[in-house]
Order: sequence, then C-alpha cells, then structure tokens
Amino acid sequence: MLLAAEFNADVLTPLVSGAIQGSLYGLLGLGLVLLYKGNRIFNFAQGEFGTVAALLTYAFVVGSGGLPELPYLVAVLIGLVGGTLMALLTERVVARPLFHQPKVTTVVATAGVALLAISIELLFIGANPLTARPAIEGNLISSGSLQVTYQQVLIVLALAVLALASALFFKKTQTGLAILAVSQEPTATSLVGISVNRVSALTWGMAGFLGAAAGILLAPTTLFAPGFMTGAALIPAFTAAVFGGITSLPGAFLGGVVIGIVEQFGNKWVPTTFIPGGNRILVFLTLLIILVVKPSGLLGKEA
Amino acid sequence: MTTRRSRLSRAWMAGLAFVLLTAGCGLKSDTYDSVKASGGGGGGLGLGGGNGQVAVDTDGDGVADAVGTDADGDGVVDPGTTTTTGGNTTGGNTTGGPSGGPAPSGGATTPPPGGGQTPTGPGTTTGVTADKITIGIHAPLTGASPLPQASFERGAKNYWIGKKIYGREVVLKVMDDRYKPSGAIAACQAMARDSFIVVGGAGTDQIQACGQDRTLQRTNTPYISAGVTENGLRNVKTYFAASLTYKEQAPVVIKMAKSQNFLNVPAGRKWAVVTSDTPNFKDARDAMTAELTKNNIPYDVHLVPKSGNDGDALTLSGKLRQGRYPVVYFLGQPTFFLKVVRQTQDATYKPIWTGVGVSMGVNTVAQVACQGTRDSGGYDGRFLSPFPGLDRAPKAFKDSDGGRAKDDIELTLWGFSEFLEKALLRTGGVLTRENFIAKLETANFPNGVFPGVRYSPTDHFGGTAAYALKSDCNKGQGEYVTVGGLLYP
Amino acid sequence: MTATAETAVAAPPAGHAKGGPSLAGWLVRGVLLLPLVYFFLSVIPGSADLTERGTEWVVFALVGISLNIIIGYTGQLSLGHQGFVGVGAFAAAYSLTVHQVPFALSIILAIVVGGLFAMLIGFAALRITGLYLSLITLVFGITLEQSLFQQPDLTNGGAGQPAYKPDALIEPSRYYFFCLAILVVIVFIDWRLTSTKAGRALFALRENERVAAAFGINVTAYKLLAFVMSGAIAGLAGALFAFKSEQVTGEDYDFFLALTFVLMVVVGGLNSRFGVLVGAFLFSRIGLDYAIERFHWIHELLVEGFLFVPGFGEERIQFAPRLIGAFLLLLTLLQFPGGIAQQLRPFTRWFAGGPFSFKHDVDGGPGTVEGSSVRA
Repeated sequence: MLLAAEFNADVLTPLVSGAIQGSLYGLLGLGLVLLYKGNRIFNFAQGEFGTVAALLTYAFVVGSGGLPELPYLVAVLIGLVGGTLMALLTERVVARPLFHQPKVTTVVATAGVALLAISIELLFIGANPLTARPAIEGNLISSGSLQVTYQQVLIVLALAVLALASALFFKKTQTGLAILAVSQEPTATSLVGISVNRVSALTWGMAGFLGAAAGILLAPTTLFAPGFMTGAALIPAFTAAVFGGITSLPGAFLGGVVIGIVEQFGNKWVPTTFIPGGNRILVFLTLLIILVVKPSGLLGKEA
Repeated sequence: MTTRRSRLSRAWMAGLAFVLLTAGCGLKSDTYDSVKASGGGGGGLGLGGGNGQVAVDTDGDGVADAVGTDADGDGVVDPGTTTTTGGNTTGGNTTGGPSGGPAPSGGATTPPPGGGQTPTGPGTTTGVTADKITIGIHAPLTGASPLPQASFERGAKNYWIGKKIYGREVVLKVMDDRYKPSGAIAACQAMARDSFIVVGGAGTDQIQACGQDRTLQRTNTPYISAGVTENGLRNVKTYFAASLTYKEQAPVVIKMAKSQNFLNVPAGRKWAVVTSDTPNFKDARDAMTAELTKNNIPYDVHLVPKSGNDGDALTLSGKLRQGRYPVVYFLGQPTFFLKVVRQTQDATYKPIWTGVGVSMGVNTVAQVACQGTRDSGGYDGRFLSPFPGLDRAPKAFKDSDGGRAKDDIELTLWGFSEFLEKALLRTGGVLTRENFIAKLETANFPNGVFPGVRYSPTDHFGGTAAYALKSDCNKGQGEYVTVGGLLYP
Repeated sequence: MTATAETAVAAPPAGHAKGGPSLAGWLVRGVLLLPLVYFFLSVIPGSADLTERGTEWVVFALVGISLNIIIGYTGQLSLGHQGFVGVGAFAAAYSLTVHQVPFALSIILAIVVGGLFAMLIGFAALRITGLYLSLITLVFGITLEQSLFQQPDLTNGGAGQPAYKPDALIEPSRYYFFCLAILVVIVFIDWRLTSTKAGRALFALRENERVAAAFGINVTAYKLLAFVMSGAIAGLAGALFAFKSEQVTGEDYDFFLALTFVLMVVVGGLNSRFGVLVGAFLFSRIGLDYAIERFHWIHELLVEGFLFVPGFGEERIQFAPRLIGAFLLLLTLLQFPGGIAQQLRPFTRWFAGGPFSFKHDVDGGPGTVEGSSVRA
C-alpha cells in the first residue's frame, strides 16, 4: 500500500502530470510545425496568436470596457476568429513581403510581431493578471498527488484531434499537397497555376487558428496576463516541435508529451540545492542532443 | 531603384536630423536642470527662506526651541541672536493650515554642515526646498508581480492632500523598479539625487538591494521600508524597517494559528513550509521552523525556485497534494503562489495558506486566488500584514479625496504616509537627512493605521505588531478581512 | 539581395580616384564632429543621470560589437547573448566579492569565462547552424538565467552578488570614462581585425564555407575563434555592467534583454560597427527611454495621442519604448534592411574620408545571415 503511494508520487504523477502539461506545449507546437512545413520558418509570434485570442474571449465573456457580455461559446468563436485574423494580417504585412528574403529575416520579423503584440496588449490591459474561466470545470482524477482537471483533458483531446486532422489534411487533400509543394518549390508551383499568395495566407490562417485554440484552452490553467503564452509556453513548444520532428504534426504531439515529462523528472532528479532550474537544464540538454543526433526530430523525415 | 532609395534615404535623414536637433535642444535644458538639482546648488538650497533665520534645538528633544540668525553663513548661529519660540512648534501643530508662527515653520532650513563652504555633492538637504519636500518611493509597477499602478499613484498623493509639513508640500514621487533588484537600485540611486528620503514600496529582494546600496549610504539617504528580511540590513545606519520583519513575525504566525485554531494538525499530518530558495528568505524560514519545533508541530520544508515557471508549480503542487498538508506556510513570488494555489486545491484537498504575507496588492492576490479556486472550495488564506484590511480602514481614509472608493494599496500608502508624517515632524523643522535619522532612531510612535513603531540607535527594526488577515471569497470578487486585534510577538 | 556586404567603416568604395580628402577636407570633418565629441565627453559626464545612462550605452555597445562578430563573421544569429554577458558579470562579481580577487583580475576572469561559455556554443555551432543554432542559443540563454544564475551561492541573497568598484572609480563620471576608454579600445581592435589575415579568413568563411576550406582556411578553428572572441567581449561587457550597478542578479539576463540586443543590432544596422553604436544608443536607457521621460513634447505626445491615434495614458506610457522598438524592428526589416546605419551611410562614408553620395549603396540586413543548413 505504501509502496503504491510512493510509486504514485515518484513515478506516476510526474509521468501523467508531465504528459498533460506537455500536451499544452504540443498544442502550441502544432502551429509551429505547420508554419515550418509551409514556410520553413520559426514563428516567434505563434504564442501571441493565442494570447490575443484568449484576451478577446475573456473580454466578451466578462463584458469588459463596454463590450457586450456574450455566452462562452460565442466569445470563443470571436477569439478564434481574432487569432486567425491576426495571423492573416501578419502574413500579409510581414511574411509576404519577406517571402523571397532569407528565412532568418522573417524569423526576426515574427519576433518583432510578438513584441508588438505584447506591447499593444499591455497598452490595453496593463500588467496585472486576469482570471479566465475554464470551458469545463471540475476534476477527472484527484487522488494522492495527482490531479487532472477536465480542462486539461479537453486540451489533450483537442491536441489529438487537431494533430490528426492536420496530418490528414496534408496527406490527403489537394490543398495540403499544394502547401507542401509551395514550401519546397515555390517557383515551380506557381508555374503550375497554384497561387502562392493564397496558399501562404491559408497556411498562416490555419496556424493562427491553431494558436488561437491553444491560447483559449490554456488561459484558464495558468497565470493569464499579457504575453503569457510567449512567456510560459513558447520555448518549450519550440523544443517539443523540434524534438518530435519539425515537419511532423503527430511529432508535435509526441514531442510535447516527452518534453512535459522531461520537465517533471528534471525537477525531481536535479536537486535545487545543487543547481536550481533542473527542468530547464534537462529540456535544454534534450534539445541539444536531438539536434546533434537526429536534427529532423523523432518522427521527422529528411528534406 | 537607386533614385527611390535615395529619396527615401533623404527623407529618413531629414527626419533624423530634425529629431537630433530637437534632442540637442531638449537635452541641453534638461542637463542644466539636473545639474542644479543634483546638489551642485547645495548652498543655494540651504537658505531658501531668504531671511537668514535658523532653527535651533537647544535641548535635543527634536523640537525647535529658538530662532537665531546666521548672517555670515558660516553654519553657526550668530551669538546673541537667538530668541525662544512661543511653543507653536511642539507636537504636530505645524501641519495643516497657516501656522502664523515664527520662522521654523516658515521655510528656513539649517545650512549644511561644514561651516561656510558650499557643498558641491548632493547636499544633506537634498529633496527639500522652500515649499516642497520630495520623498521617493520605488515599487514594482511592471514586471513579474506588479502592483496596480493607478492605485499606487493615487494612494501616494491621497494622504498629503491639503497637508503641509513645516510649511512645505509633501510630494511622494513614485518610480517603477520593474520587480528587479537592479531596477530598484537604479530607481533608488536616481531618487537619492533629488528626494529627501527613499522608501521601498514592496519586494523583498528590491528592498534589500536598495538597503545595501552604497550610494544611498554614502549620501546619508534615509531608506525606509516595511519589514522584510534582515539579511545584510542589520548594520545599515540609514535603513529603517517600519514593521515587523519576517523573522520577527514567525512567533506571530504561531499566535494567529493558535487563535484561529489551525496550529495543531491531525495525527500523521504536518505543516508545509514553502519558501523561495534565496538567502533573503532564509531567516524567515529558519525562524518559522524553529517556532514550529518549539510548539511541537511537525513540518516539511519545500524550497522552490525564485521565479518558478509552470513546471515548477506543477511539481510543488504534486508534493503538497501528496503530503496532504492541512496548513501551508508560503513565502515567495506572488504570481507563483497563485499558480500553485490553483493547481493544488481540489474538492477533497483545501489547505489553509498562511504566512507573513504574499502581495502584489493583497486583495489582488485574494481576488485571483478566489476566482481560480471557485470549483475547489475557494481560497482560504490567513496572512499577517502590517496594515489592516479595508474593513478596518479609518474614517479619514474613507472620506479622503471626495470619499471615492479606494483599495488596499491606497490604504497601505495611507498608513505609511501617516508614519512618514510622524517621522518628518520629529525633525522639528531641521530638515536635513542626518537630523531625520538621528531623530527617527529615538522615536516611539503609537499605533495608527500602521502598528506602533519603536526604534533605538542600535536597532532600526522598529516593528511591534501585525494584523491577521483572512480571505473572504464571498466579499466582492474576493478580499481580505481583518481578524481580531493586533498581534504581538 | 547580394551577399557581398561590407562593414560600414571598411575601405572606401572603388572609384575614389583622388586618394582621399585634402587637409582642409579633414579639418572640416573634424570640426563637424566636435559637437558629437563634446556630447560624449562633456555633456554626458556633466549630469549624474546622463552619466548613468551613458555608461549603460557603453556596455550595450560592447555587447553589440560582440554580437556583430558572430553575425558578421560566422553568419549566425545568436539569440542568447545575454547569457554570456551574465556569465561574465557573475564571474567578476563572484571572484571579487567571495574570493577577494583584485579588480583587474576579476575583469580578466569575466573575459575568460565569457569566452569559455561561448566556445561551448561554438562547438555546437559546428554541427548545428542557421535557424536551429539560433534556437539553441535562445534556449541556452534562458536556461542559464533560470538555472545557473539562480544558484544561491552565486547570487548571494536575492539582491544579487555585490560587485563594488575600486575606490578610484567610484565617481560615476570616472567610471563612465573608464568604460568609454575600453569601448574605444575594443572597437579599434575589432576594426583592425578586419584587415588582418584572420579577419579576411573570417569573412571568407561567412561567404562560403566550402570554398574557404578549399583555400586552406581551417574552418573549425576560425569559427570557434569567432565565438570565443565574441564571448570574451560579452563577458567584458558583463563585468563592466556588474560594476556599474554594483549588484548582479540573474533575472536581469532574461529573454527580454536578448530581444533588446537583437533590436539594437538589427535596427542599428547589422554588420556595421557604427550601426551597433547607434542601435545601442537608441535602445539603452539613454535613448528611447530617456527621450520619452525627459523630452516634454514627446512625453505629452505619447500620453495624449496624436490626431486620431489614442495616447498611451500616463499609466501605460512605460510600455511605449517597447512598442516603438517593435515597430522600428518591423520597419527596418520590411523597408530599411540595413538599418539606421544604411540610412546614414552617405554621412559615415564621408566622415571616413570617402565621397559624399547617395549611391554605392550596399544592402545589409539579416539577409546576410545564413538560413539553415540543417534540412528537414
């Protein structure tokens, strides 16, 4: 009995809670993978698509600043639309003009977009934290040291569904193939008659939608303030995406879960008296190792 | 392409030139101002009253007894010119309304020491002019755990509306320290250049950084804050703690727990003592564990990183849930605390959160914690505080500034301002930093909004008591209310 | 755009047949530079506030030079440079305070430690390049901040590790001149380097590694050298920063600082020493922050708003520099890739002795940074 409790605390809890926490990262990572597949860039603004969406949802749920109070699902819809629009705007104003420049320019530009977004959020809201209501309240599991809320289950489900849906989209549909074609051979593709601009907009729009969904789902589970997605989840999401395979959507799922678990065990194994931040160190080492050993990631394929 | 580019370049350069030119103009005038303010004019500030009159305190009780003249400006009152004052300056009579009394309330300040020479560095009357006393206060208005800025700025002004100290308006100048020690040091050093005294608004590490800063000490700048850590601050001659330190509050936490019946825990259970793993919280932690041992209460210590992320919050909440601690003593970063509270509680496990205070505005903490635990039984926080909850706010506070609604931040600043007023009045009109310190370190103030304070020249930690606050999630969106009276260690 | 970018203050462009300006020409240039010299040598030290901000500018400029070495010579973008600065700062503070090491030696230690940590990343850079290297540097910097820099022995009290200046430098303007002198030396060394064999090797490296190797240049050694040099200068900057504020705290070296450095280097002008100086000026507290705080008209404009654009309001104006910085970054990347340095190039070229013309424009920008050689 005692042994079971210890096993529970020492192994099961970090495993399960880590996996669930990691799904948060994976959800954000989906959008990152999508944009890499489509445009070969790292999108540092991905987190902010989520923050903006979450803030819009909050504003309409609570009815702040003179806005009408709307039912939760309607507010969520507005948030999703908002995040997608932000992504489309980014595509039009930032990504498209820089399309023919080397990729690192676009990457730095997305960091600029993230910074701009955070500044505007601070402008409207200030720096103090808000509280977002979860979509579903209550706990699924709550025994011993382990706690799993319904919201967290929702996140895992959303991740699974979205990852599967996007993977199928790329493999089976014409549009999906078109996106891949554009990313690999833009000139040839446009010669065949596929509109590069439209494909680009579509890719970013999808990434925006995924980011928005991530933000809306995550906001109730953590400290909700301007820039919270970039601060709390973007770097682990990048690590998760690269680890799982930067071109593999299921890889983002897997990578997220692994990184979440690595974090929890990092906290356990590296004593804080020796050096704090064990979870961070282990995550960094994981990233380093995968980039040195298999840069395309666990489930990624070369080129 | 070249022509378009060159046109753009020309436009850009014209704009740049314009900006630089105006910058140059703006820069020049500002340089001049700041050179003046930084003490190059120490002599100029000194004899602002213009009538050469000087306050003299012959019996050393902090109140001016006589007025003399220092016509030759050598820093010493000319013999034969002293006349005793009519007693108008005792106690707090010099504040509020025209004093109509002799010179000490009229704006004369003693010339800086060093008889006759005009000091060229920041003078000890820095921040004091003929009609204004400037007090600098730094606080985290941005950063990891910010205070609501609007409330803070309003609260800084509120107490002083319509009040004058020795004929001068008192202005509390607020600076953001970004919740970082380096930001605090930058703010403190800047304020030491143009404020009479510097106050630490919040943030243990920030307060400790400024308390130890050499620039402040070198310029005899008094630095005052609520009591926090004692680490490195015990021997700083210019530092004053205006309330009990964390270490001193450990026995008070025990008293609060006893009086509210959560000291003893069921058999097999323990208290959890959770603090950030920094040396600034070590004395608090050690004192708390010592007190628990003294009362035969079993406990477990859990250290967390100073700025924990979500993964750390998850790990800690796992440990807390595993140990099923009925009581958790928490001392750490407020935003981290909020994450932990939300993740730890559920329908079956709802600990009592206690400690010496977790604040980014205590009611902000209460509100976010209450909202975040709505489906897990609500938030039960029992924390000490140097000021009472809004439910015990004095009438003067509630009526001030047109009677508008005010929050706990403003109450804190009200209480602190009350304390500052008492400290300023003790100088007896001799508004130099050295005198301020000398008088404050023999002060013994009674309870006001802040609990009473007692200093001695060897002990600048003057706190005497604390209030017990308890969270009430049914009040508004979540607030703290005061429980019982003042608790003494 | 083309990949043949040159540093801004290198050789004058071809076609300047006269062989340089006359004595009168140099005199005119010198006289026109006088206000600038006056500003940096007299106006700044004259005000305590400006001195403190000016010292921060110097430190940022050093970091920019160090970042420039990696970007300019290896074509990689380092997003974790604040880590090296922090490492240097802690090394200096720790050795001075805990082990009573003399001041000069503590600075040398900071340089060495900075170089060492950069070398680690350099080793990683041999296998990983482009976007992935940027990601690794980013995560490295953040990891350092949240682990090593939080180590209680190293940080000694939440207020941070003290690092007291020696008595001779306590006076702020003296310390400013000390830092300024170091900056001048480093800029000079960096400038000379471009004309040495090592410098040319590094350039060749950036253009095309394989061709460089074919010419017998030891690619590995030079890459590592670039990283070590960069880290050493960053460590030096860290030490100077430590002594400036006399306290070193880990959380100062966070992602936001990394972003500030990127802003500084990109908006100032990549691959340009002058650009780095300008960018550092703009984004340290002597630039945007100061302008918004002290220039009344700017302050009012931002608080109240302009025409139909709403103002920030007094409470939120502190976020203005961030917004402006982000906006400038995007503007630079989209419209003026060479940054401010490119826009000012007609002037800098003239001051360096070249002709004054709006042509001979060489495009800079992050386009000169390598994309990715890790294909996925």
